[in-house]
Amino acid sequence: MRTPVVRSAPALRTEGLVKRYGEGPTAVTAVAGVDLAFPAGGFTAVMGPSGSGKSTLLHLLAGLERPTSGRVFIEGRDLTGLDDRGLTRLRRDRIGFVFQSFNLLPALTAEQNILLPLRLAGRTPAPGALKTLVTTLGLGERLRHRPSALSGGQRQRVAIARALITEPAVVLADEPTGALDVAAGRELLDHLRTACDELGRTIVMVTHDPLAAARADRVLLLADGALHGVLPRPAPHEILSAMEGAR
Amino acid sequence: MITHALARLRAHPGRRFAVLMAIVIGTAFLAATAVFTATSAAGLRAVAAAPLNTADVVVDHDPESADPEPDWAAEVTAHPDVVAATAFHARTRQLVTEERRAIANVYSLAAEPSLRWFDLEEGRWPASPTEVVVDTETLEQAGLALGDRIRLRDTAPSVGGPTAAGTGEKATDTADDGTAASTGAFGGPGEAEVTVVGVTDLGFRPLTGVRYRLYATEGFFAGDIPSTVLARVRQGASPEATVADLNATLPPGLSAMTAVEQAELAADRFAGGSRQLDLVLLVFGLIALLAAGMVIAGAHTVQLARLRRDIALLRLVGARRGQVRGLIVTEAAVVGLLGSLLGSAAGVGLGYVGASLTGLTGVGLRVFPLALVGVVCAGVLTTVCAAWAPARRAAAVPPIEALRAADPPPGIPTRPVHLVGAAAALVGGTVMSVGALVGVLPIAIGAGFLGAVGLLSVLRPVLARLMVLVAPILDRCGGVAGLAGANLVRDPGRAATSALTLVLGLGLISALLTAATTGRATIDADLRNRYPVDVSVRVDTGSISPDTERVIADIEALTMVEKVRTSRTEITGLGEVTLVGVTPELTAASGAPALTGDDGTPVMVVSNDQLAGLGVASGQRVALALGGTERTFTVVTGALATVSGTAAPVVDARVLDTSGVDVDRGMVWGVARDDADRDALSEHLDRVAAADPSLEVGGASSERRDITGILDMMVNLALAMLLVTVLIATLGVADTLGLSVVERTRESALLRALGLTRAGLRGTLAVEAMVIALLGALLGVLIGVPYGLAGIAAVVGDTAPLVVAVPWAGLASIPVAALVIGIISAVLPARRAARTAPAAGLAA
Ligand SMILES: Nc1ncnc2c1ncn2[C@@H]1O[C@H](COP(=O)(O)OP(=O)(O)OP(=O)(O)O)[C@@H](O)[C@H]1O
Ligand SMILES: [Mg+2]
Repeated sequence: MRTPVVRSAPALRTEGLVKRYGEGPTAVTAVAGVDLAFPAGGFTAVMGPSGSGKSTLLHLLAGLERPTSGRVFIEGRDLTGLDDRGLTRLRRDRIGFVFQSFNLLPALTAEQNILLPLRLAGRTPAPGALKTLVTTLGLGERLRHRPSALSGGQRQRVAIARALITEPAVVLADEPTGALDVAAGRELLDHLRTACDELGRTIVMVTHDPLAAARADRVLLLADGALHGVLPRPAPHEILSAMEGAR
Repeated sequence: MITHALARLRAHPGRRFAVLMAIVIGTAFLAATAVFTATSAAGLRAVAAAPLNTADVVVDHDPESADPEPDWAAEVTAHPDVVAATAFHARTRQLVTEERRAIANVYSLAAEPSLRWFDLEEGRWPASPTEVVVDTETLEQAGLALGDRIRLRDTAPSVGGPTAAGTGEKATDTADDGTAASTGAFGGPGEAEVTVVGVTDLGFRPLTGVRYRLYATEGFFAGDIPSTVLARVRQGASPEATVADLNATLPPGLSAMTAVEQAELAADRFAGGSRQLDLVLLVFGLIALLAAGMVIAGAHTVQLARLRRDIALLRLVGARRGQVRGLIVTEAAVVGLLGSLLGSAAGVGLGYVGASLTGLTGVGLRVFPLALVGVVCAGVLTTVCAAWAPARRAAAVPPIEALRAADPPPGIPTRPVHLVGAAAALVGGTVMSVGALVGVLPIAIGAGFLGAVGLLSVLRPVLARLMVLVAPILDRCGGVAGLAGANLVRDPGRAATSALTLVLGLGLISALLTAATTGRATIDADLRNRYPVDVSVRVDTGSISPDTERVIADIEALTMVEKVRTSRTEITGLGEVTLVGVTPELTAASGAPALTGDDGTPVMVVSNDQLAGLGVASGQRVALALGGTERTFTVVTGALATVSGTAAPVVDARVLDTSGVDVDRGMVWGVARDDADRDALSEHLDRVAAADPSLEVGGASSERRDITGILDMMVNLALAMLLVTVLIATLGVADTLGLSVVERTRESALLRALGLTRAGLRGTLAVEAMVIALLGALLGVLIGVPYGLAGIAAVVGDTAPLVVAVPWAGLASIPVAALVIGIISAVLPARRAARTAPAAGLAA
């Protein structure tokens, strides 16, 4: 049940975003001037060949790297104007992260990992929020375990729970299914989809898997750091052929 | 937040071992110092005050003022509130038994039982002047038994050497007031025979300089004017009021004081000496704490590098820098608190053991809770401060590192803090040198500390660059060494961190060795100066018998024994004196200045009093009539003139031989070797004295033993302390290597798959560890030696001329020790690395 909703303001927006590494002849332009808008409550997949700048784009969106030029707005706030403290607070309160691996602190239990952003903010979870999330993600029995005692799929679900617990504006995911088998990957995508549909989260997901990208509302194709195309709600085979074109 | 800090602790309890150990040891040392100080001070006080325990009021006679009535004690008793009073006497006598003859102090016992300050263990109280009580220690050391008869002879007035002060010796030794030298005959007027009728166990060793103590009735001291009277006031009367009354009515020269005040004064006199030891211990305690801080800072740097990814992740999900810093520092505080509590507890035990080893636990364990709280606070503070900089650096990790697989950039960039550190090292070093030269200890210590902190903060990048420099050399050695070099260069910052703790530990040891050797040489030179001759045996008339000379010459502890020339002659301005002639060989062996001037003018060494009698200044030339002829001497004062216990001018033997006076060989002088067993020497001399009652035995053997004994004890204590620091530094190196092994698992496996043997892999790590340790040792020695010299120069100040002595053998052994440390610290990591299966490198 996909009910695309037209929302007024985009949750996330970029203006002429450029990121260059290095200087002179060895300089690499990872992101070469992209203007993007991510509608609130939308699920966007980012695809492109290796080295096309997907991860860099994600880092820029999260304020983890300073753009060489251009700007990023989250809920209308310009990231480039924020200092370390402001960026940190923004990440803590408004952004959730899920990566391919190394998502969790090994010394903390699953529950502690999930609650970490709230603890850092000095907040307590809304009553029932943790329970709901954990039940939805099927983590009930696993809360007292440390990451080393969890399967890869469970770890990624803990990461999603952590990303969602703060009720962020955007969830950024970089190849979240990359290290999972097909079944676990599908399950994870279900959870992301639910977060988008039922909780209204804005999701940006980098992926290499056309099947995963097909679960998104739209797919952005990157090539050499520039936007190469947008596929609204494509089927997997459409994505594959579009990818061929981008290569 | 604290729950997270604790969560990390729980997950890695072993990881904090180095930090915990460091702070445990640091605080244990401080706490031990505090307990030792408090316990021994209380013990000293109790010992010093013991003879006054039974009195309420003490009246002293000022020795400078006119003699009071011989029975002035009666004037004290006359006060209506005084219920009992006793005159206190003390005499120094020679105790003569079959086997030995040595100095003993005889103290008076109150006739009034309630004023006696100890109880008898055995036997009975003396009833006549020919009966005495001895304490158990004297009994044992003099080989006496209840019922034994001993002879007590008058002593010659003693000259030179600090007079030993001791319990109850507030009264001046009446026998020391210049009574004539012993007649040397048995049963003469200066001798009394007494019987041991009672034994007391004091439970502590009184702080007297003499080994033997006797207690006799007042009748023994017949004819002496008491210098002190002890009195008790009636129940309910105030000692203070009585003191005020007495001071108003007693004639001038007599002053009253409450026993409590007097006890405080006595205690302070002894505590003054021990306070210096306290200070030295405190300084070493603080050094230990600094060392602990260094180890902690190093361990944090290494461990936080390992946690870099975790920290980046924390930052990524929204932890502010301050929060990360707080987390690390909180964790450090928890470990610090735990370690400080453990350390303090251990320190209390150690301090008590230390105090009981010095026999000063008479009043039991004394702990100032406030001091222990201070130690715990200092421990926590040290841990937190040490963790602060690494925490700051760790908190500055960019969050994006959580997403990168790449290694952090190797090496340590030069930061402003390094420049500040270099400046601090420079300024601190300069000021310390100046302070040391001028001899202002607090300035030298402060500046030295500043310099050390500066050096330590700037050393890390220096060490890192050294690692980079060493790598090509290793590479040229090929194979395993080359691999080790490549590994060092991969993260020179980390290698530098682990080397840093070794620089500190081995640097401190070099400094201490240098300071101790130089200090020992300085003290030896100073003692040689003050006590040039260790043994003197003399007869009053004629020459020493060849038998006696042979016995002394056979004493193993003496390097040089000479039967010196003596002559009883008249010298203008000095009256009749015993003039002593010694050979240049003896002068040289004793370290005293030569007795012939550069221009051939003979030198005469006299005592201070004699110099005053001559009415000249030291170093002046005087014409003196000797054996009928007039000769010009350069007259100087010196310790040689009082070697025999009386003031006897000393000249070169040839002067005496050619002067035409009658020359005897009335003395034997001996110079002890530096490493002589001075206890055995004293024992020997007591026997020599017992064998021939006509001999006067003297010399400075025991003073030197006491002074150097304390120094040796403290140096050994400090070395032991610093060895533990080195042990921790070893743990640090092992920790670092272990970490790099874990990180290199893949690589190790790949190398194994490519054909590197297990032994080769272990060798790589061993070489790496040895290079780290060796660099640490070399830098440590380089920094430690000047530090040690400056430190000891500041401590010695202008109390004695500094004699610089570098402990070459000790310093040479430090790099060797470093190699061993390297090998030891590589053992466990190497084993782990060698266990890596070659296939592990090929797995995804
Ligand atoms: N820190 C950096 N310094 C220099 N160059 C970088 C850095 N990070 C990324 N690049 C370069 O930027 C370009 C884009 O990299 P990016 O990681 O964004 O690609 P990607 O699309 O995520 O690739 P992949 O699908 O393999 O993950 C690459 O050429 C990469 O080499
Ligand atoms: Mg990528």
